[in-house]
Amino acid sequence: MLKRRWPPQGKAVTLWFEEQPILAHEGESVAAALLAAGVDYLRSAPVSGTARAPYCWMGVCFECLLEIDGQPNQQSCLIAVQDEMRIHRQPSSMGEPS
Amino acid sequence: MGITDILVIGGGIIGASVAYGVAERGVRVALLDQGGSAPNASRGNFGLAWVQGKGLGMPRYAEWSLEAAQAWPEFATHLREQTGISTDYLRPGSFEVCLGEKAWKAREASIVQMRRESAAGTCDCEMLDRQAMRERIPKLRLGEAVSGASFSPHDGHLNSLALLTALLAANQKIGVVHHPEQPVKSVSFQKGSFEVRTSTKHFSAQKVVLTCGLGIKPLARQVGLEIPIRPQRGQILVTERTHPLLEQPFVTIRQTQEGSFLFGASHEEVGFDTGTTLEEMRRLAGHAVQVFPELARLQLVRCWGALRILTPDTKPVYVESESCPGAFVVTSHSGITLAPLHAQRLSEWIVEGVAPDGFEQFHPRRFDA
Repeated sequence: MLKRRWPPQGKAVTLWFEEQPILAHEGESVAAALLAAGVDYLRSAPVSGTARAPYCWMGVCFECLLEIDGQPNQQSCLIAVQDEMRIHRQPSSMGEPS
Repeated sequence: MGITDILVIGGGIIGASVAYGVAERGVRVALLDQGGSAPNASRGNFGLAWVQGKGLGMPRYAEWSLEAAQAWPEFATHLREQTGISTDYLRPGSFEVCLGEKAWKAREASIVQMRRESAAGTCDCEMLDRQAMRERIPKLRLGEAVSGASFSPHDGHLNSLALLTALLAANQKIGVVHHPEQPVKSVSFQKGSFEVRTSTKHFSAQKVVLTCGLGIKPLARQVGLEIPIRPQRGQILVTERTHPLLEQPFVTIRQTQEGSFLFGASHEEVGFDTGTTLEEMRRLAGHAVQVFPELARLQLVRCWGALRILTPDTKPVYVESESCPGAFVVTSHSGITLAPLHAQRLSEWIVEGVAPDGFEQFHPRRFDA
């Protein structure tokens, strides 16, 4: 979904997104790295079920929430990548709709 | 300099409702707003269109609120048709929760009293015990302390930001001239018309309507009216979004159409301070979890403080100045609930001078001790 406009400057790191390895570079945000690797949505809207991806890239829209290293509701557009991060799309905090 | 028939000073939900209503009568209307620096209750509020419990001690207010609730569905449809903007208005009825048996008894007594004071049929809240409440809220477990609730079938909730946007769009469509960054410095009455000054502009109007909430007090004095209003802070917490779990709003808890839960209703006398405090946030979240323990699993994502616009008895003021006829004050803590009536029932009074029945009850002379 995103392309890097210039060669990455930072050291290469590996992220694990839904158990799959993703190549990223230090200095990138988690959201940017995932979208650059071809991930096409980060969460599903809990009411409509539609796929969502980051919109504001500055911490106000909450469309980039992910579970990172076991912590739910992380704003992935504001968090810098670190080697070996474990990242998942998050299940609903309230369980699935009945 | 602008010349207009009616100048509405205060471009929040109340001002935009009033401006729209008077403009529908074919008069020229301009709507002035202070802009970004205003402590804007239209943007900070909880989003309830609420009747339950209102009007104790003033039956006319209970009737007025009920009339507003009944006008709301059509008003929401009208705004959507005019502007294409949905306010997310829904009217599933509302709960006022009781924690403990004592609270349930007290709530019941206050409803009995309101019923006695009011005209027949204007207070049709019912008391529900825990079991009856559970049947109406199938998706969330009630906390141990919940003894029941009163239920009003008339109440609803909505997105108040969308309401303000829709009202402003409807005003624009009907030809109201909107001046969004014009804090008013002075209002003077000269030779039967009003001169209004902002720091950069000068307006003349046959009539002025003050709808600028907490900004009313100093301007009302300039047209011979003493309006005792004060700010009262309420903090609101917002959770992450989740799937639909709670249809009906509470005074303190509601789920928006987008899936967020809002927790609210602190009552703090802190002047114009719109800040937040950990202590109140903890209390509000604690209350929500006491009512619905499962909500503890939700993460909070935002919080803010907003200022209510309160008269001493919390009820609205509708008044025309005697010394400066043509100057009106419209203020209420319930600008959302009353929006349909502010748009539809005040225009005859402001334009033609014919007030709705029983309107003298809303005169601020009731505060003169």
